[in-house]
Parts: sequence; C-alpha cells; structure tokens
Amino acid sequence: MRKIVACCFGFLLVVGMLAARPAESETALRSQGAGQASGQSPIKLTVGVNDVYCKDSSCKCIEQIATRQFGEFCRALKERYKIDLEFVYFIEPYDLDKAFLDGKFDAVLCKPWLVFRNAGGRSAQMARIADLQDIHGDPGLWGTVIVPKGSPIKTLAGISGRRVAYGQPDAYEKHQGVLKLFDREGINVPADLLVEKASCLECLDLLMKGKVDAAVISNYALTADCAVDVTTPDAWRVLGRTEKIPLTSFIVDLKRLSPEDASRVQHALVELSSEALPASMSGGGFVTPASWKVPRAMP
Amino acid sequence: MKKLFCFTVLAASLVQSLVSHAAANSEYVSGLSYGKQARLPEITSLAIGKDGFLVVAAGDKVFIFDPSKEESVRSFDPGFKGISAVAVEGETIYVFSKKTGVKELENNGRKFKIQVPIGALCKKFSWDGTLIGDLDLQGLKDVVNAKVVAGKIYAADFGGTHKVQVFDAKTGSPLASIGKDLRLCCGLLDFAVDPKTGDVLIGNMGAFLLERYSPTGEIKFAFGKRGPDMQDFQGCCNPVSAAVLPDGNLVVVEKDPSRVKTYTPQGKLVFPFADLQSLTKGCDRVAVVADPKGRIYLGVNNAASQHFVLQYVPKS
Repeated sequence: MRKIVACCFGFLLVVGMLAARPAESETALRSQGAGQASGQSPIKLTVGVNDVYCKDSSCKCIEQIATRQFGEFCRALKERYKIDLEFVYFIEPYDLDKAFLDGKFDAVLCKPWLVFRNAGGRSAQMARIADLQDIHGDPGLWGTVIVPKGSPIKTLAGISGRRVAYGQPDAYEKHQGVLKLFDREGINVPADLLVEKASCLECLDLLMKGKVDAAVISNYALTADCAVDVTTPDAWRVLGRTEKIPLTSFIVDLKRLSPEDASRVQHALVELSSEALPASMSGGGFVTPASWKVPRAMP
Repeated sequence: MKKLFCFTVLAASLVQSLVSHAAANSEYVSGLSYGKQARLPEITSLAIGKDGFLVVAAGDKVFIFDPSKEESVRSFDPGFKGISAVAVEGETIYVFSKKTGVKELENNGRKFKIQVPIGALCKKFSWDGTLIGDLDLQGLKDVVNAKVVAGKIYAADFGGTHKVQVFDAKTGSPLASIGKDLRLCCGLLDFAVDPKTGDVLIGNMGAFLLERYSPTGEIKFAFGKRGPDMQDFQGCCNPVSAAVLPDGNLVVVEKDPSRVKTYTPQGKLVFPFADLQSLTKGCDRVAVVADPKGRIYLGVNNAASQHFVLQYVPKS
C-alpha cells in the first residue's frame, strides 16, 4: 500500500513539475476573422510607452530621426473608434519595467522582451495585439555582430575564440539571440571571453578601445541611438545577424481588457495605420503582430 | 577584567558614534531654491564665488546670490549672446561664450541645419561686474563648460577636440589636454576639478563612466556602468556632471531620469538623493557645484520651463 502511495505521489510530483515549467508559447494575439474595430462602448487604456523612434521617449541626440509623436494618432483613434489611449512616456526602459511590474498600465508599447522575459507573474496575462514599424516601415529588431572595418576578422566564424562584447539577458536581440546564433553557426566563444554590457554604446566603447574584438549591438544602434554622436555605420563590418523579433509591440493585459475588446483595439490600430496614418507617426504605423513564441508560464 | 570590559564597551560606543556621525554627515536634505520667483532664463552654469556666494549663468546674464537668500543680490550683462559657462577664482569672474555657424546635414534623405561652434570667447570681470578684459584661449574651438582652479582655466572643448583643455588663466596659453576615448552625446561635456589634487573628473556619458584624470591627463580611475541598480547609471547616457565635496567624496548627476548621488572617490555609492524632482527634460546639461561647506547646488531647467537653482545641504 505504501509503495502505491509513494508511486502516486512521485507521479503527481513529476506532472506538477512539468506543468509548472514554462512552455514556449505564442505572444501574439491573432484575432479570428475580420473582426470589428468600431464598437458601441468606449474603451480607455493607460499605456506605458518606450519607443526607440518616439520623440517623447528617446534621446535628444537623435531628434532628427526619432520624430514620431502619437498625439494625432490617438486623437483619430478616439474620434473614429471610441478608443481613448492615455500614453505615459518613459525615456528609461528600467523605469517602465518597474512600473509595469508594480501593476501600472493596462497596456504597454515597448520592446516585447521587456514584458515577456519573466516567465511568470504579470507577463503570463499579456498579449501582443500589434507591432509598430520603425520609420522605414520595418517592424523587426535584430542584433548585429560587428567588427571594425579594418579588422582581420572577415567572417562570423572568425570570432570563435575571440573577445566579444554583447548584451545582458534583458535584451533578447543582444543576448539570447546571439547565443542562439553562435550555437547555430558553430561559433565557440568561451564564457571568459564574453563581456556583458547593458548598452550598445558600452559595447561599442570596448570595441573602439580594442578591449574586445567584436561586439553585438541592436540593429538601430548606429542610426537611432546615442551612438550616432560617437561613430557612423560605415566604420564597421557586419559579420552576422541574429533572428528577427518584434521591435516594438502594443501589449495588453488580458485581465484588464477582454479578448473581444483587445481584438477591437487591435483592429483599430491596424486599420487606422493602413487607412489614415498621420504624418506625425513618421511613416511607421501598427501592423498585425508577427508570431513570436517565447518560454513563459501559461495563464 | 572589569576595566578591560569597560574599556571595550567605551571603545565600541566611540566607534559606533563615529560611524553614525559619518553616516549623518553623508546625508543631504533639500534647502533653498534660488531665482524661482525672478523667473530666470535657462541656466547653463554655476560657480561658487567670494564668501560662498553663488554665481549663476542664465541666458545672457550672470546672477549673484547670497546663499541665505532666494533672490539674487545683483546681476550683470557680460555682452554675450548666450553664456556657455561661468567660473570664479578669487574676486575674478570668468564668463565664456561660443561663436557658432550654421551647418547643413542630411540623414536618411532628410535635410536639416544645426548650429556648430567655430570659436570660444572669454571675458574677465571684477567681483562687482566691471569688465577687466578679454582673454584669448589659444586654439580653443568651443567651450561648453569651464572652471578656474589654481590659476588654470579648464574649458570643455566639445566641438573641437572633444576634450577638456587647460590654459594659463593669466596668459591664455595652453597647458594640457585632458580626456581619452570620451563617448559624448548631445553636445555635453561636463567635468569637475578636485581642488586638492588638481585631478579632473569627466562624465564619459556614452561609456557610463565617471573618469578621474591626473592634472597632466593620465587616466587614474573610472567607475560606473549602465544598469538597473542605484549605484549604476541610467538614461540614454550618463553621468552628465559631477562636483567634488570638501571631504573628497563626489556628487554625481544623471540628467533624465534625474538622479543625484554621492560616491566615495573609489566609486562606492554613499547617498542617493531621495524624492528628487526632475532637473531637466531629455538629454540636456545639469550644472552642479559644491561649496566649501559641502552645500550642493543644482541648476534646474525642467519640462515646465522653470529655471532655478536647487540647494541641498548636509543633514547634520
């Protein structure tokens, strides 16, 4: 009898452990059918925003590039779809992350890894309803492996065994994406030669000083980041790119917004972007979210 | 045995008292606000003048404040269109400005114009605001900040060499060039001079480092990194400015999000200023200066277009 109880207990423990382990799940909310953007009841959402190309959440040094302003778009959204978005801007992603984890905001507009990198907690109830394009119409983000133009390293394989500066785990395209790339391409950089830095500019600083042989930076770092004041893209040779993931997503809390209303907001963002995108959005509007699966706990 | 016990207890309480005294001394509380009611124009630079008076460069004027009063005691117009820095040594006030020209740039097919520095100007005034004369700082292309310490003018040459250039304050002849591999941003290059050692502390913003250079320009020490913790630096690039306290500790300022913290010279966090108001919006300068009594002054240019100087005083 004791053996049977022990076996049952063991079986339940294993099942429990498997259930608790985060599964890789879809982060995008894909509405079924055409959906309805307009509705009878108004929707009001407070949204925390950190967008690389937004004037209100980026550094002044890229004010000629980060020109996007959401005011006109939000006014049109309210008039046309009765969807009222109150945007709260963050120049510092750490502050947005803290506010999000503290339970603030019904939705966030930011790099999705900021929300989904924690497998459990609030991220489990979040869903991407739209991706935001950059000013060139690209909704993607990736990491680029670079060396100085004059470097003897000519190929990605050439960085095996060399010193590489890359991002911290809170930046997917500069960390997890890089490790995946290295694994896929058979690149072997020993852990003691990998230098983790939080910002692209710190990685570039080490590369410019010759303290590392290669660096991994975000794809926009040389054109839409403080690095524009320090260097130019033509000073570097790109050896490789990590997988493409969403750059900026509109991510809603499904415990504060019903799936029907989330779908309504999704259709409104995408429809308004395709039909009447204001010039103040700098050429980049919202599009249907691309599929992106990450390891996370199920709601 | 009893005597030994008493001695141990006495020594322990003495040590504890010293430790808590040091801790109390390292804490700061907010003090007065200067120039709030007078609606100062944008503040570019601060200096400590004669008798601990506060000297503020705002817009095209220099304002002098008695530290015990929130309104300025006097002001004068040095005759510059925009002052980039003010510095004081003894009874001489040095006022700096820059000559600019227009440059056309193109990025992603978009054309735009920016103002670029093409020269630096310096005028000397007596403590009452009377012009003494001009000073030609030889070869200087730009001046975004300046200090005068021990007969030397230190000028932040952002637009020219991207370094702090040192000149003889009497003749204007160049003495040294300080700063290496500075990753600067938004036209900002701020620094402090340690009056005891002559070391120059530069905010290497893009590298998220505060760097200490010897008077001859060799790097001696650096600390900092971007990160989520209080001892780290945040924002697009920081720290933006620093000052040296009388005990050798450092006041280090981050612009937006605004944070002010004190550190030991070795880079250990001592005291983060709590409930600090926003000092500036976006990537812009924040002037900071400390007086011989350890009082700290911060130049505020906030999002509501208010410009004033915020004082912090040691808690004790």
